[in-house]
Amino acid sequence: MKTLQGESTDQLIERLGDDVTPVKPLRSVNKRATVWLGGALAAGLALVYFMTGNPLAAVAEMDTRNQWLLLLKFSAGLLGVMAAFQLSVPGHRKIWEWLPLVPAVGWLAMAGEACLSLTTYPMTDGSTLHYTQCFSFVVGLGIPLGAALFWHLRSGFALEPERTVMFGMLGVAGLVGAVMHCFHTQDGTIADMASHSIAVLLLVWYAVRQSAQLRVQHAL
Amino acid sequence: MAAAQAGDANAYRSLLADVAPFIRSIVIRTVGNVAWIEDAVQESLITLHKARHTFDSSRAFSPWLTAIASRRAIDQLRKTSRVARHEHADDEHLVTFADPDTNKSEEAGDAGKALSELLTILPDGQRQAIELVKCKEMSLKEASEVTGVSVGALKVAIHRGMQTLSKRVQQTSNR
Repeated sequence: MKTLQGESTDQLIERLGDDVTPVKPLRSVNKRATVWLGGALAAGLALVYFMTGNPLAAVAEMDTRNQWLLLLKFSAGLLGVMAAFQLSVPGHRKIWEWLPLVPAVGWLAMAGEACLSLTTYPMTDGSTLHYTQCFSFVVGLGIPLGAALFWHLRSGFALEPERTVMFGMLGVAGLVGAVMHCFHTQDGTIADMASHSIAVLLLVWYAVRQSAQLRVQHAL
Repeated sequence: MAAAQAGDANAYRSLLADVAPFIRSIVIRTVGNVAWIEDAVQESLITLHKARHTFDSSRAFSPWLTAIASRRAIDQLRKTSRVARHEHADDEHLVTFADPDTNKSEEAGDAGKALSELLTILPDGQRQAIELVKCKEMSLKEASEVTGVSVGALKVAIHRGMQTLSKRVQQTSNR
């Protein structure tokens, strides 16, 4: 049976057979994700060390709410990047299509809850970075880190480029947020939550726009 | 698949021929028995070709292939729906004019018949002059030789006949 392109499936198979060339199989998704995450985490730890002098002490000094927020941001970051790598090749497990959203929703909910409890939290925490600076930090570090992730993902073949890149950028935003959280705890104000949220959304929006490149590359 | 990744054309053709029915069954299972099944099958085969480097031989082949076929079936469904949303069925594409009355003859597939009917309202002399000069595209001289009427008389007959026809058409369209 011929298709709209006027080529039968048998003819297509013959043509693809003629076109076939040796290809180097892609490394395991888990290995690639581990390598990328290893590099990103090492850079993040170095930055935290540079800013605080002692990352462990910085975390220990946080109140429980901020420790939970840090955990949720880090989980969203880790799972987001893992999911992006998983989605960048066909045949991933379905769980990766929603798993990063769980800590991301928790992150949003906890930050939102803090905003509703403004009476118990101060408007500012006196940290080094203020709202505009934290916005700039997330976006400024998120874009190059996201670009590095995007570059890695291009070697795969994402059947759903938008979702892949969206989770990847959500992961990058989570990791950047977690790094920043070590020396700039979220103070529970609406302004702080807005600056974080807008920065994350901006990164995700930018990434999804860029995902068109993957479609072009894969001629989808 | 490992042989195909190594560039073995025969193994690759054999693999594609073997998986095509499997892909077809996945497409049918995903979107039903639609007219464009073969398009989705071919899109899946092309995607398999482009993404063959992503297959990890330590993993099972079936989930990898199923993911490609299901996704392409859904993509094809979306594409078809999108096209259908922007295209309108033009069942009356032969209609030339908006007024249905104007197109009655075209719908019947016989424009000449309508013209012949219209010409019956004319006197014989005017009708014959118009038929020869306007319909059969004879020169005035040729028409004059056929009818035995002078060229001048033919001109007058044609002019009067055309005026009558024009009035009749105008009256019909004003109704």
